[in-house]
Amino acid sequence: MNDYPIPAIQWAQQQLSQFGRIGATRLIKVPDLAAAIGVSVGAGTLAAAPPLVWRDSGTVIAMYGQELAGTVAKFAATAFRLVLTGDVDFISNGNGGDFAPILATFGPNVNWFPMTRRVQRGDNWAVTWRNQDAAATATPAMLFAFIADTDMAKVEQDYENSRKR
Amino acid sequence: MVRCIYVVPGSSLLALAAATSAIVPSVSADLPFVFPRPCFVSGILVVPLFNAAAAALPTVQAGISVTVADENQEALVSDGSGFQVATVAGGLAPVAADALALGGMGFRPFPLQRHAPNLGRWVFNVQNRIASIATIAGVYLFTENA
Repeated sequence: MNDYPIPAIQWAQQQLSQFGRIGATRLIKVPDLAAAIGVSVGAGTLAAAPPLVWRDSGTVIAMYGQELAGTVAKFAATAFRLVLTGDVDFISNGNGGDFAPILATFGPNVNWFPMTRRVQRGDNWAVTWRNQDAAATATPAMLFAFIADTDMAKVEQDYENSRKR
Repeated sequence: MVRCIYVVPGSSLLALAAATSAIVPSVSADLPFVFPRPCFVSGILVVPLFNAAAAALPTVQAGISVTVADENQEALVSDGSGFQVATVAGGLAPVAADALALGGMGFRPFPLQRHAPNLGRWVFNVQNRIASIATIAGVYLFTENA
């Protein structure tokens, strides 16, 4: 699959990443955990989020995440692994899938992480969380900025209008 | 460029009841907003104000989340399952987006690309996942001319 964005998507991403202006037509959230992740034991406590099954085809243009404490220390101690459809690891150490901390991905100020991924209806993304805080539970959240294919006509029109200005 | 910032009615200085746990939020009443003209909505921002138990603003920001239903009653925030969260009051609330993830610590508006028609009605709910009362400054929509 060619994930290189079409011009209108590329334009929306550029607006998002360079100017923080316009972007998603929808926000898709990884389903919440049923309970907070327990305190870290050993190398960390794992919790699999309910799978995110995409209900619409479209393009993911950015990823967002946080932890409920809202502190940099918790962002550093809460990591995630994201497996895309087809058992494709988004984060890899070269030999296999791995975890990345929220802090490394979104920074101390909770920025968006730009990405471009096409998804089809029925695609399944799996997020596993890891709490490395031995003193407290963790309640993380992850969202994706999404442009649905059904919204593309308007996005294309916006793109054309912007080029005329 | 932004032409107008709308404050969602009822969201200004809105106090939210305490949550019973990080997973079970309290939920505000429906907060409807009717667009007075066709608008291009380029951003949304939720600004928390205060929480008795959490002195750090980002912590309050992390515990506040928002849901949006557009003029077609379609959720702007959703997940794949249509899963709805149980609430303090019993019942279920729509999937919400966390204010800290949306706005970051820099309080930038979350970039949207949505067109709202004249008299289009969007409905907002604000959720609190902190174990004490939280107050928000407001929910703000950044719009440009359609």
